[in-house]
Amino acid sequence: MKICLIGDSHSAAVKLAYEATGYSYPSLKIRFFAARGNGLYGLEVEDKILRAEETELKLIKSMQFTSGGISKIDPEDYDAFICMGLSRGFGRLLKSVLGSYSRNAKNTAIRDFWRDSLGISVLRKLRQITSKPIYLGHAPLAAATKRPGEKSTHLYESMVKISNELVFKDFEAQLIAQPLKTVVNGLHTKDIYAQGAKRLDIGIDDLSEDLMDRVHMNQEFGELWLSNISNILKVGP
Amino acid sequence: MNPYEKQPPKAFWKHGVANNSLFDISGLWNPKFRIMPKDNISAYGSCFSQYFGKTLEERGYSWLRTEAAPFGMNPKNQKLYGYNIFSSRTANIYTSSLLRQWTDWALNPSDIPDIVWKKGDHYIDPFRPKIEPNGFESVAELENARKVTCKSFKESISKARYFIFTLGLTERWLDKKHGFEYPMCPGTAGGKFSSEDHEFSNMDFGETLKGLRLAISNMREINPRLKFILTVSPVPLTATATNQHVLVATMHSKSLLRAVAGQLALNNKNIDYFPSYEIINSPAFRGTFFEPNLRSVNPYGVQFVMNSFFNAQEQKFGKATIQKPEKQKVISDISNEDVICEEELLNAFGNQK
Repeated sequence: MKICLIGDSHSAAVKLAYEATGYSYPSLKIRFFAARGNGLYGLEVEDKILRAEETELKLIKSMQFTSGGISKIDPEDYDAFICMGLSRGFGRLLKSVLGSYSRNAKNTAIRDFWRDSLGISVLRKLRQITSKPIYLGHAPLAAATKRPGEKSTHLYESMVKISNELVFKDFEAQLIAQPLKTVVNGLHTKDIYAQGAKRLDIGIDDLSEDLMDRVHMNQEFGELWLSNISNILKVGP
Repeated sequence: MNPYEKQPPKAFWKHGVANNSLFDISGLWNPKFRIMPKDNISAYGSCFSQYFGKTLEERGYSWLRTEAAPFGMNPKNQKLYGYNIFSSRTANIYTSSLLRQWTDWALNPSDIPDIVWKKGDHYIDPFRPKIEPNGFESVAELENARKVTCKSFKESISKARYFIFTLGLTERWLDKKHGFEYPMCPGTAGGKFSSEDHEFSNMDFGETLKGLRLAISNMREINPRLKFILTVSPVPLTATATNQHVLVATMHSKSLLRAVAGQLALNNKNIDYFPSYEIINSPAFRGTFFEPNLRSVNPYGVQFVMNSFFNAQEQKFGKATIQKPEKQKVISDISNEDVICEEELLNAFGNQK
């Protein structure tokens, strides 16, 4: 199965995992098109192709580097698409809906959160050129700063389900959860998965130093994520 | 030498007004308090008061908000759901007695009435009829939201240094049986009007003054250090329930509100009056700041009022050091369309003849 993965810096963990363990998924071929930050807002649809706008030189270079020399996304070349990251604050959204808000207000916030996200921007453009399956993996929940307590992932799973019902269903796309094994305290990622996270390599800087933040995850997380998506795509090892 | 000879130029119509371009008329406010950017400021009142919070924030001041919208909700929907309009989600507070009612509830949440209005499958909060665009799904959800707002309203008093209140109306609608005040006439923004249950009241000077005094007294109970800045909305009534012409009813109401605000400011060192009403309505400004309907204040008028507020502060106390980067002041940022004004609904439900 040929997959086009379009992502931001969060796709680095999956890329590293794919490079290290991709042989375990012989029927899965992933091509990455990644850019840091909000770079992918510079994508445009032209002649049924998704490409960087001419003036987005940084994005063009980034796409070429991360894909191995290709700067256009032709939907005919792939069987399915994955948008990785391209959203900020899924954990905050989760926390927010625990507050005393009406259900309508919560649902409106969920709709707005996604509709204003880079993920939906890319999704809309993809849907202009293809009816093939599209999956979106949200940016990982921020790493926990306190010891794991709550083990239930019920709320998190509910939020993924509601997001699908309220937003992604309309695009005939699917939001996928991060591996439940990585979720702690209901709305965080277990801290071990944030240790040793690497920057997304776009071929311009030294990557020897690890990222020291709570939002980017490491290769181990990427491996679990890859395993998860392979189960969804039914291309498991 | 007579006493007028010692008066400054601004005390004379010729020098203060007649010899000036209307845009050069200044010195209209001699503020009692120095507002520092770090001072928490709560703002409530009628439609016009919505500009205060927004402008304070744009200029790097601390507009206190104690009831946040859910994360993710975009600014347009936040407005639609009544977030980030006032310091908490009270919706418009048009009268002094309605302000007193909110402060009563802040002090005694058990006094919050259990009145709700049903609309189809949904429920409307009579005290904030437009706060949920589609109504609440259940009575429990409505009552919970009301309690959250009461708590947030109290917090916006306890944590504030200044409380800006814009008086809007003297006309009000009361629940005959329970004595509660509705912000809107039942049957306009929700509910059903019944002459058996609802009654009209147009507050006189004494009632308006008493309402405001009690509200301030309640708020001082929560926060003894709180200082007040009163203003009067220059926006005319959309409609009157009296038998007067709406223009006469407007002048009657606004004159009372202006007099009450002035009276309180005159006698209390912790209460000030800011003349937004005069800046828009005085003949010196020739109605320049009104839209063609002579009711809505245009963005330039709002900007002029707010500039007068900050210029007066600067002239008296010097330039404040703004910690946060000052956002670009784009006049079109302040648009009449942004203002949530339930009173406008009266137009939709009034006599269309």
